[in-house]
Amino acid sequence: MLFLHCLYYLLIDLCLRLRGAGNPLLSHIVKIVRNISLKIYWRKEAAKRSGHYKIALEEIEGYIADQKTVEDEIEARELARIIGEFLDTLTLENRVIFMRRYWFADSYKDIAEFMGFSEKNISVRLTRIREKMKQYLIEREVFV
Amino acid sequence: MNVKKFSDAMSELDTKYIDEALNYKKKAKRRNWIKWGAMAACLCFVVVGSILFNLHNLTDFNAMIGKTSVDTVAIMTSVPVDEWTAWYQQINLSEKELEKYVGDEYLKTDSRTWYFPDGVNNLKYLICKDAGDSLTLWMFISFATEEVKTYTYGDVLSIIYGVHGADDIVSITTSPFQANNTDEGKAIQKKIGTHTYTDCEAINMFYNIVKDVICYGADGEDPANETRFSYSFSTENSDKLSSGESTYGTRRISIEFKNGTILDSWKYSALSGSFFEYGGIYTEPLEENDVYALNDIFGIK
Repeated sequence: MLFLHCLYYLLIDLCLRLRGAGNPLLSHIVKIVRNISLKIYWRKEAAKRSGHYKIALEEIEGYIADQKTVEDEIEARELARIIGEFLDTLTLENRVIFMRRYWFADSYKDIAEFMGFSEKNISVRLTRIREKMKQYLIEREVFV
Repeated sequence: MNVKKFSDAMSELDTKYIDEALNYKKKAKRRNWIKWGAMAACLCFVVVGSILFNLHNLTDFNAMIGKTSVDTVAIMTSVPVDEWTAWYQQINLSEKELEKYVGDEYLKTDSRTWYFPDGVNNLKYLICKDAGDSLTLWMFISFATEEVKTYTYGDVLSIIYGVHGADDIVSITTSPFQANNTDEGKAIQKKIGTHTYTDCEAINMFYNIVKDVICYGADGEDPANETRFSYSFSTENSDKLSSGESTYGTRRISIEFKNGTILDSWKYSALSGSFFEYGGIYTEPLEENDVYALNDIFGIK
């Protein structure tokens, strides 16, 4: 798992370095690598290990997890569509910050450096975005 | 929904969001010098002409508002700005005067249309035309914090004033906080005087501190505003002063930006180590190092 975790981040880093070439397949490659890594991550023994991604999920859990969800079986794709609509309501910068945290699992420090902001600024922005997303999901009855 | 469902959903997101996050470039690095150089060569006379025209108008509205003693009316309204709800306060200015300054449309709602002042492209002031075509002038006060508890001064600078870095600041002027009208208080204020800082180092340091200041807005509550620091100052009657330390350690701040706008609603208290504004707008106290840095800049010992 540790090897695959490192491989995932090495591949992400390689993709980021090569992104200047404007490869249109880049996002698809990154997506495939992420999906493979996550399948392994969700195995019981892998979930026990701490890591950036686990920390990011724990952070957002309070804003999405509820025993009283109306539709427990909402399809991942439907939820993805709703999250996508929510992302469209954000500014470019906030959308990128959200993706860097909850898709790429970057640390606050890495996001701050990437965006040219301070860590405190990133922390405040992510708090606001999470609260806004929670409200968005409540209004769409995904989170009751 | 649980975190795994969320994680699965994130995996299903449209790749356009991934592309955007992969290809994002910080604003300062976005310039392609070859591209901008070519465009500048072709369009330079148009750009210069446009700038000169707008500068005339920029000076016109800003000059007018600078000469006017801003007379606020006790009426507030909310305006959608970016992803925020912003609170604006009405300014007392005649419609006849305002007609000259109506610029580009900023926002249209069911009952009102909002305009930039002519030649101005920031959101400190907005002109409102209501359903009856009456014009009123409004000034930004704060962001609403009911749903989201805080914002930063960096948000205010970038969203309202169009300021994205220290390079956008021309000068910072400090002046005494005139809350003590005793003879002794006035003597301290005279001794403090007014100072303008234009050196890059001071401006950079100031900007890097204030952009992260966390603000609770007018809806928020005053955080623990205990006296954190004490100062020494010389005056013969120091023991007879009321709030002497507060008078000595507080500065009104006025920031001039390159776009011609002035931000003059912030006050800095070295005693509590925080910024504040009139109307009960409170901020999170600063880190000690930031307090010492600001005191060095402002000459507060």
